[in-house]
Amino acid sequence: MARSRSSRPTAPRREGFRSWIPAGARRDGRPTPSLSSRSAAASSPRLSSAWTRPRDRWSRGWKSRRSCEAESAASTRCGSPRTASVTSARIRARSRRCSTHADCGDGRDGEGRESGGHEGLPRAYSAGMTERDDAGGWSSAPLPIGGGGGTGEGNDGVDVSLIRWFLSLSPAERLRVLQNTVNAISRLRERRAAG
Amino acid sequence: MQPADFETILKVLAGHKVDLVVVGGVAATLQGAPITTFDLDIVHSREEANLDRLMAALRELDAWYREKPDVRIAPDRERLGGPGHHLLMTHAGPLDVLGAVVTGEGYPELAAHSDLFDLGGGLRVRVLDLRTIIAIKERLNRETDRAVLPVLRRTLKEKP
Repeated sequence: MARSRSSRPTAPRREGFRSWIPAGARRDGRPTPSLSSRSAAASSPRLSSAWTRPRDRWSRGWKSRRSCEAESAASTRCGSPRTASVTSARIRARSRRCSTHADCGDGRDGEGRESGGHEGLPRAYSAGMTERDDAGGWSSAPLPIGGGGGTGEGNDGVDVSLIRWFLSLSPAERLRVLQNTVNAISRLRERRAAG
Repeated sequence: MQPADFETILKVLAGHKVDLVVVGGVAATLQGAPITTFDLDIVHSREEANLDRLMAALRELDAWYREKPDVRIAPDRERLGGPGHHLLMTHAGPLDVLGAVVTGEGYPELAAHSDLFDLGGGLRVRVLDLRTIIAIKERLNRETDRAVLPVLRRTLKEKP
């Protein structure tokens, strides 16, 4: 006898699937951020300031991925041989928590100790030196991303470490950073306009 | 809109020995506040000789009023002698030439509250100090001014 269409087993609807997850928990078992904390983050004054610092893990991960991909091509570095056949998924997984390389932006050396990034710059900012300059090379002006580590953020939401870093630059360097920012935003706008 | 090339504009103005004070976002940035702006604001001296120098610099920059790009009106000397604001576009990007800031202060008042910065390559510019930038923004109390005030105040506090 033919079964009626409605009695066939079907994949759970999205709402139903979600209902299997306990309230307040994510699939990875960690608690879900409350709506109020998310909206508070969205309305943070930091977002309206000049630099909106990306989430540390992602910015570090991006930098790390670049380093690791470069290393994959080079095959050996830090005594850990690698091949170019490493899949992107494995690279991603590794770059999220790269504890092997001092210069991956993760800020840890081979033993997992905190280490500096580029010489003479605060680790928090040197870890994110990824801005291209107009000449096509890598700018010497450090970008304030990938920092954090609990460095001071005032009650007003202003990133004090960012201000201290900017004050440590000379006026000419400050102007160069501003110029790089304006150029980068303009390039992004052009690319977006071009489709 | 073409992005501003701050250094090029400042070099042309300095090359013509224009007496001016850099104000606004670029001034705040030069004073150490990590903020972003897309145009250069200057307050010029409205003395006769300086107006001649300013006109020569604006001619070199091929300046026109950016509010009416289709008509392409060039700034004239007589208007620049007033306290009004001239929102210009140049071949090096946007430039706002102000006879006086909105709160009324002109070059003589602002120059007394400015610092002379060496930007390298012989380029020296007069930049409004952070305390005065904050005072002006507090008096203006516009939404855009209020948004940036926490960063400016904190920068002033952290400044050695």
